[in-house]
Amino acid sequence: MDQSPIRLLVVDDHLIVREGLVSILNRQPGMIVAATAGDGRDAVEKYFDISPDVVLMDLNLPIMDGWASMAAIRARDPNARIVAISSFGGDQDIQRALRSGASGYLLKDSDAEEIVAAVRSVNKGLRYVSPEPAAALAAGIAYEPLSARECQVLELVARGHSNKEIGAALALSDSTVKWHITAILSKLRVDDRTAAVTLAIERGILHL
Amino acid sequence: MSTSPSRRIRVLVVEPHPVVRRGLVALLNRHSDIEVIGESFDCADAARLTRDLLPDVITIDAGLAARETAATLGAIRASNADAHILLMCTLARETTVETLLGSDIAAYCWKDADDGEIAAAIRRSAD
Repeated sequence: MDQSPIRLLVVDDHLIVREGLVSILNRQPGMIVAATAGDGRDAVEKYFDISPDVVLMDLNLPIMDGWASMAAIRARDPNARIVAISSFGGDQDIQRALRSGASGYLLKDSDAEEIVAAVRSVNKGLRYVSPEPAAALAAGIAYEPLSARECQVLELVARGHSNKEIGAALALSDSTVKWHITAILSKLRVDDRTAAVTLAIERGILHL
Repeated sequence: MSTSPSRRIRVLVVEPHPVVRRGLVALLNRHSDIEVIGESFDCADAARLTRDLLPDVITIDAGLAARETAATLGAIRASNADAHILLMCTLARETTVETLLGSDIAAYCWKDADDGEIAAAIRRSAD
């Protein structure tokens, strides 16, 4: 009964979403929002100012994005407990978030019950990934990851460049570019460049 | 209602995302001239609430409005011809707005609007 409440830091750049999260969390017994932040750098500062028990962190943030902000927090406090909450549902977005130090992952359309469950689990030191992102992660495991170079090539493909232009931009021969594209199509298991770009955006490999 | 000299703007919030709905309601209720009189997840329920509660302004999530048919949006209008619809683009993609404007919906409010801008959009819609 006399347990101290879970103190939270809520990070989102959109006022309506931030207010919604604060309103949901403050209505829960045993939870209190100690501070809010509107960008990733502000989040790092507030974290070390107030030492919250749990951070609820958006990913697509100005100045410093959520992945970088989580990594900066965890670099100085490896025990930081962070739940990422995002409209990004691609397996690569989720993987990057978990690698950057998130212990939980929620989609923005989650209901109050789910958000509260995630905060309680992560506060106990457990992991919590809600069903949709968990399914995306499970599906993504079946794919071989693209190399850094392949990601560069694919991004230029997505921006509408020809093989010749990609070769010039990355200082690669035509045949090397073709070879990379063949590898990309094979790893993503698609037949053409358009399908590769569509899938890469869906999975969070590319953000245009 | 008739006893109140300056009647408040009565708002119905139609928003499928729980976080956004709670945020919008919390923000609007902070303004003394605005009152949230109802909340709804979907357009069918919104038509019923529009008929029962007679709001001045109905805020509808752009993504939800885009998924609904013109008939469903028309049903909301038909429930109370005096109500004004304000489109809220919070988690919706930018392109959905373009397709909706010019139909029955005249005004919209962007997701990165601040507290004052959202209230101003409500007041403009109620005029």
